[in-house]
Amino acid sequence: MKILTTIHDLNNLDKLIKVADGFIIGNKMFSKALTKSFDENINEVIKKIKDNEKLVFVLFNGLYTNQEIKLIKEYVKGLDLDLIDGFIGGDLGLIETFKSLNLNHKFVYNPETLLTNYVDFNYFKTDLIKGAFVSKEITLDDIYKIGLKKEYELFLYGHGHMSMFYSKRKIVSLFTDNDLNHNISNLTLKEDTRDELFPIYEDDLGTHVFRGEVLSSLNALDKLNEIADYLIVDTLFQSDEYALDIIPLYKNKVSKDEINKIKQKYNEVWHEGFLFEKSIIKEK
Amino acid sequence: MVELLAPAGNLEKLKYAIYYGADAVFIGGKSFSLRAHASNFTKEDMIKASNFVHEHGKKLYITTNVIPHHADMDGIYEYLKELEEVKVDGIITASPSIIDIALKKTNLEVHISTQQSAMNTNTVNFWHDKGATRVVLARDLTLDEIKDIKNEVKAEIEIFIHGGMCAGYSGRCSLSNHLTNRDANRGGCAHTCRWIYDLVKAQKEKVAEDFTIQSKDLSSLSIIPELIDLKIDSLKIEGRMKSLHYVATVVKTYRMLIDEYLENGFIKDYSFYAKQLEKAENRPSSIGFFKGLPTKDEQLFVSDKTPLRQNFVGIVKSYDKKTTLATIETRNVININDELEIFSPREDDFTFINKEMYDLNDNPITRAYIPKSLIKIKVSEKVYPNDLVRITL
Repeated sequence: MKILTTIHDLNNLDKLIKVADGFIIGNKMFSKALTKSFDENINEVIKKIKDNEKLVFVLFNGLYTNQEIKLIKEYVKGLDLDLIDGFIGGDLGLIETFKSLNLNHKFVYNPETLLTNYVDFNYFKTDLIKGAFVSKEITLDDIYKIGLKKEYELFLYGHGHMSMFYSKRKIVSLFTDNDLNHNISNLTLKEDTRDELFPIYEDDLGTHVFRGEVLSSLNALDKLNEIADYLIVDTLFQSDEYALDIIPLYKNKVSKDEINKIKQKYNEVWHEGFLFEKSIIKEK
Repeated sequence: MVELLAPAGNLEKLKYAIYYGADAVFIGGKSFSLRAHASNFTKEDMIKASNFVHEHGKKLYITTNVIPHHADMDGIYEYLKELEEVKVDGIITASPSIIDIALKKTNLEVHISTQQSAMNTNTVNFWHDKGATRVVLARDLTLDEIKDIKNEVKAEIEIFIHGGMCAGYSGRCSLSNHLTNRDANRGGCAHTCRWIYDLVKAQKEKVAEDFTIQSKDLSSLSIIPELIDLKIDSLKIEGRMKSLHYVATVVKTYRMLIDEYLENGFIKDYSFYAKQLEKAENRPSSIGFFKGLPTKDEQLFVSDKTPLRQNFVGIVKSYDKKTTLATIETRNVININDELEIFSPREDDFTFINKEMYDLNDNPITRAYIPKSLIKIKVSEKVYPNDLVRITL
């Protein structure tokens, strides 16, 4: 299982390539929830990653109108396509876009919440995709069942603040009349009966709400190593230093003490999402 | 001809949707359908629904729009074969596993649910190429963007025109899962976007305490002519959990507006239709994305404290020409001297003051307060079974 991560500062790439197998990068025009937007220099970044023999995936994780699909197509044409290992996208309309650019077997479908069983996961085989992300809201048992029957590469979010909500609406700006000068790290939602603060922020694609506590898949590693091809360590709301600390936990068997030291260092509460607790439909 | 598609949470609501002008109705069965809190239909009820709808020359669609986990998948084939036996006109669905079985192993027509958030031509064509007949577009598109799609696709296009909206992209939200453990994509949505939150800056400074991320409901009277001109195939009203009165009121309002536009090519007075909609139990509403990215007017930033109108008070069961007494099945309290409105599928609604009211033994009464009891009311004009009675507010 390869570990992919995100980047905050290109100057840290030399250190990050020592722990990560690859990187997910994007441009804020087309990607949400980025740690950093790589704009004019994206081909430089791609080349630098590939010069270090690491994998590079470009992110298109929004949902797009026709006009935006056209812009993406033009944008992709300008990328150094031979060097890119994959394009991660959440909009099915992108499959046709990448096919039309002869980029078969490069698209990785990530609808975040929709691929919850092996039939749905494998449905896109004839569409010549490279792989797909399993849903973030299913159990390890369900992920494992998908993995045993997968017909292309299996990706999953393994560590980081889980995205819970994505709206095209600019909800915070509308509410605050733009007077809070909010940025990516300083606004949260607090619900009366819960202690957890949920980060909320806007970018070019809309409004996003995340878990305040951090998803950890460390207790699922044995099974994930058997069936997953890529595990993502997303460092949104953190730093490159965080990736340097976290990725080795997934690469090497480490003691609980070492894990606790890292949690304390970053003052984080970790949870295991739905890996070991199945969601319900309604209370009986 | 554009289809007016109405929701129904049970057989009675389905009948009223048809009586009041729907061309098609969508319902949920007991399996594989979101809205776990709606009544939902047994197979027996679905057969009755299918027979009723088809006898009236209308159509019936069944929602099978869950995103199933492995444990939910047992019985999909058998359930879809049941729907085939019921002779439904299509299923509204989102999961590829259900889509695949329906297309390969049944003769069911497949409509792609808005849970798939189709936002562009490519996505619509993707599903059409897989065999889907119709795609319900995401509710996050402007009229121009819808036009752009409609002009380039072969699949039928269905658009939401009225009712509740997800604040985020439908199908992609897991707020409910994370905050309540209830799975939104399997019918358990706890509407956590409608909760009240504090907005906190820098982990400690409370900058607001009545923040919500919810949107107003959708209401698109003024948009209907443009949607008809775009040749949108189906105009959908949301609300399988809404009341019979809501369904009847909203369906009739859009029915009249569509018919006026088709007949005359213009709408004389939108305010008439807006007033009709006000009589239903609507939450605050807006035109959503139709005219562009929502502004503050389309958001609902404070808790909706407007009391729901409970103005629906009864259903006409029969009418006696000689005595001009209508027998009414009550649904809410009716008092003597209330101003009542007879609300019918026809165009002859009227109001009158309730001056004479009796129990079934013809004893005069001044107040009817037991729900679903039968009473008689003297009416000023002829009424018909299935006309609705409401108090004018």
